[in-house]
Amino acid sequence: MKNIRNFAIIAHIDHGKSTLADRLIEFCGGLNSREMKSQVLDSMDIERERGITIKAQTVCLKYKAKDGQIYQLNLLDTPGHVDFTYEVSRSLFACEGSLLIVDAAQGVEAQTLANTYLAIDAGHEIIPILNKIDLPAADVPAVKKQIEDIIGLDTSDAVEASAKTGIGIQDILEKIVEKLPAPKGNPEEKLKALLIDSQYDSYLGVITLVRIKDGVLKKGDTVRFMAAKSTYKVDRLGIFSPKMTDLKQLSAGEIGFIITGMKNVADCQIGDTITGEKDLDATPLPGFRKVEPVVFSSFFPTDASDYPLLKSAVEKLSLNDASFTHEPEQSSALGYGIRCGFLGLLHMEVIQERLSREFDLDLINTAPSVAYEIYLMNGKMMPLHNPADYPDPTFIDYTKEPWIRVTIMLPDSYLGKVLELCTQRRGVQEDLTYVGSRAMLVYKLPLNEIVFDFYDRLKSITQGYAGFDYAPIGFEKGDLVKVSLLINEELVDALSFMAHRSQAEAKGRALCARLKDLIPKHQFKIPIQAAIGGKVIARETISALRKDVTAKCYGGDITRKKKLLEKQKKGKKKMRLFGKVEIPQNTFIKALKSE
Amino acid sequence: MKQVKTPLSIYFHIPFCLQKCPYCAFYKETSHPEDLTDFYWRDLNQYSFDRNQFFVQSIYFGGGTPSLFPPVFFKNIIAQLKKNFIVSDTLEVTLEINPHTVSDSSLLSFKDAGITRPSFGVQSLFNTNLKKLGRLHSAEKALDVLAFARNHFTSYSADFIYGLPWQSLEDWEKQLTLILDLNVPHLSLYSLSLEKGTPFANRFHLDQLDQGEFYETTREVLISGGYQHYEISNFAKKESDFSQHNLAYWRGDSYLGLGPSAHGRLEISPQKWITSEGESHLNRWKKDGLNLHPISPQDRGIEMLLMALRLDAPFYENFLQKHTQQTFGDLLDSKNLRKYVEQKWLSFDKKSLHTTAHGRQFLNTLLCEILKLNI
Ligand SMILES: Nc1nc2c(ncn2[C@@H]2O[C@H](COP(=O)(O)OP(=O)(O)OP(=O)(O)O)[C@@H](O)[C@H]2O)c(=O)[nH]1
Ligand code: SF4
Ligand SMILES: [Mg+2]
Repeated sequence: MKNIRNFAIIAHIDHGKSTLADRLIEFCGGLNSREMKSQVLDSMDIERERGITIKAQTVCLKYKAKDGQIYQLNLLDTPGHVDFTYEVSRSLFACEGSLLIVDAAQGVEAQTLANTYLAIDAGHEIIPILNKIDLPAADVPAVKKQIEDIIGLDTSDAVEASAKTGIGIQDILEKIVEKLPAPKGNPEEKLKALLIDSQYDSYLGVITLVRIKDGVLKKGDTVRFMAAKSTYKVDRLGIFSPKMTDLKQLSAGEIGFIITGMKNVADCQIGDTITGEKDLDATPLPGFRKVEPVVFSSFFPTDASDYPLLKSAVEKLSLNDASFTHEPEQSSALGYGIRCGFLGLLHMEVIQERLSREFDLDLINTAPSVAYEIYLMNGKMMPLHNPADYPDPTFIDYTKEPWIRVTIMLPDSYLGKVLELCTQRRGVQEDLTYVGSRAMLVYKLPLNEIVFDFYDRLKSITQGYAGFDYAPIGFEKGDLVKVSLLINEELVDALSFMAHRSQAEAKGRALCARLKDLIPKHQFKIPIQAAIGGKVIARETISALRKDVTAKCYGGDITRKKKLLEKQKKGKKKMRLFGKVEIPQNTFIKALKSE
Repeated sequence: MKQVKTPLSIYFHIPFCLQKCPYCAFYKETSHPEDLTDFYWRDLNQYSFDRNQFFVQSIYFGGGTPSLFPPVFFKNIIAQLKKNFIVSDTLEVTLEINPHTVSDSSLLSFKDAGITRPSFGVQSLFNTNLKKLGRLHSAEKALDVLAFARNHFTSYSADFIYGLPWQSLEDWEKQLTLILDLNVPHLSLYSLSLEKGTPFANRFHLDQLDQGEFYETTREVLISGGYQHYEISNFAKKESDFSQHNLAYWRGDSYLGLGPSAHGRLEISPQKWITSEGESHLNRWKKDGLNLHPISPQDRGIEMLLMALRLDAPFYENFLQKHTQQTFGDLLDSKNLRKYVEQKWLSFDKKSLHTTAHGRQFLNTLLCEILKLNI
């Protein structure tokens, strides 16, 4: 066990974690050059396409160090985007140390800070790595100073590296062996393992990722999942190298997978403790803090008969992703669907994309909303996750909304614009500090004001140079109202939203205007209205379509004509009927985005 | 036993123009016009079928700008066809003519060469529009050519485009009055569509323009001026002025397409159809010729419907069955059909379908709703 090192790679988004993991795998011969592709650990299509890591991944490497000994290195690559912080904190529980990657051309960013503090909280030894030193813009001394001044980490042991060219890779491996502690734990003791993660595979069923704390887990053993109160026989176990490799046993200090033939999704609780079958009075390991979703949105199948499919798809996905909640919902306009809670907007987009991609589902995604607390006249509190459930205002005493503390790092030249954005969003400034020409801005903001497009706006006004991180700080009273949307005189729940009274009218007007562009013309006029209670606050009209026919048929080219029709019909399939009006399903998301 | 022969139409694509009009997506080259006659015959021989089963009802020279070629070019082709095919007594031979390419004398020579129906690409009667459309002729030239045609051809046609991004309804109404005065036997009046990849599509959007209003006005003015609105974009004084060649496309007859980017549909034996498509590239076409593929009777049936419903004429189920073995029930969604019959977008009397003027206006929507398209 003294030759095992378990470590996570943490960083701000895009600072090069996955690329560095590639180099480490390559150096240790985990894959031959034919199998090696870039960002091997980003295995989902969506990760490879977007070039981001969404799900933490693990890989077990063998490294022969300069001291002549062979070490087993268990590496966990983690995501950088703020929405996936929970993946990071889970990975941290499974290891003893972290490699902190900082892009030497960009410097310390918001997630660099947030993730480092998570690692410190988890009691990790941290090795700072300055990556991308091959870039002409890299400024090693300045970034080292930032690491010391902003985070408070000693950089005398920092490694300078390039995950692109391979500089410094061996130094990193040596530092891991030398500086990071071997796992503690006792192979002689009774089995105790932490359930880190699970994955659903359509051939193998539930694959569970575990970290053995004490004892030995053998193939064929029967184990108990403590929180789930259920027992399973371990059919297969092994490690990712990064290919799935079967072993006979896993012992204390090691990280690996087990397959139990588990069918019941609910039995696989992330953070659960796994013990021997008969060991009924074991004390559970400290689990993870349960993450609370902050953004809510509903999925409805375009084709109502797909609801059972949607339901089972959501259950399967939640196996891979313990962080999103789901419950059935019924909407007058959209039929049966599922209300889901997410950690942020990127998280929501990712889930939506995976549902349509991996399960071939055509979905309508309603406008995202945050969770409100509604205090009723009768003294009761009603949590509101969906504007559609908003009660009759006469029963409402007052409403509270969630606030967050936002940390923004940016070059000070953009400060003016960013302050303006925060003020627009009802922000309250708490702090402003400088490190060289970088500013660190701390604001209190209502979550409602940032869920939608705050990050996009921030990026665009700072040309991509600002990064941000946030943490919830509780609920506060607010003057909030529900704005309802009516299309052709019919209430469309899925487009209704909550807003601060001072902004309701402007938002209602903007939404009506965007809907006017998004909803195709029909053979009749369509009024679009936004209203608070019975009072209309904004209105637009979509004029009637007077013609829909292609003028010319050229030289008997019917093939093309037929293709155009098929395309039109396909577009129509992606529409949903509201009363007499057909609305393209992506309207719900599009209408609320970009201003 | 007496054999009933099947009508056949033949299209020649002549892919040369002096310049490229910025709205046009047709396949054409601006290189020096090249005589491709031998290649057309090569294309023709690529179809293997029993020519004696057919008689040629129409020939169409389209482009491009076919009128860049001398009359003798057409004369030779027509003669060759007459040698190799049984030809109708009322054979229609259309030539697309750009006004700036002809004179009174060349028009007469085209007539002598066997062209029975010149089709003039006038596009507009106002020079400001013509200029923006990138056309090379003036309104005056177009009027001269039409005046000459009136005295020397019994059948001829003129093309116009409306619904231009900069055009007011008033501009078009004025033109319609002038068009009525011209007394042309056949008119093709197209609303501009912005075709992907053309300079116009990059430059303009038609959102603001209510093409529906133009369409309705066009229809009202021409009908009150004595025209029949026999197809979405086509008007004629009498039935004998209808375009026989285009009717072949709309009614579901067989036609051969020769030349680059030309399309064909041929019933090689009863209910067995093939499609053909010439490569949209001059050199590749010269090398490879046409691509021929079989097309399933269902697909051909769908094609027939989507073309036939453009006409103000009934489309009969027995024609469909005879040529594709398909019934209306095979190809149409009966529930939606009923719905749109109720809404008076089309009429359906068990044996035939016939769109109404109102329904034709929304034909794309109607077709999407009632055809069983495989998507
Ligand atoms: N020039 C240079 N580019 C690098 C280096 N390391 C990574 N990159 C590039 O930086 C980009 C981001 O790299 P990733 O490895 O995906 O970053 P990540 O930290 O895993 O990103 P997330 O998982 O989305 O948080 C990619 O385009 C890499 O090719 C380096 O050392 N030098
Ligand atoms: S002359 Fe006709 S075919 Fe040639 S570019 Fe103009 S519109 Fe197109
Ligand atoms: Mg990554």
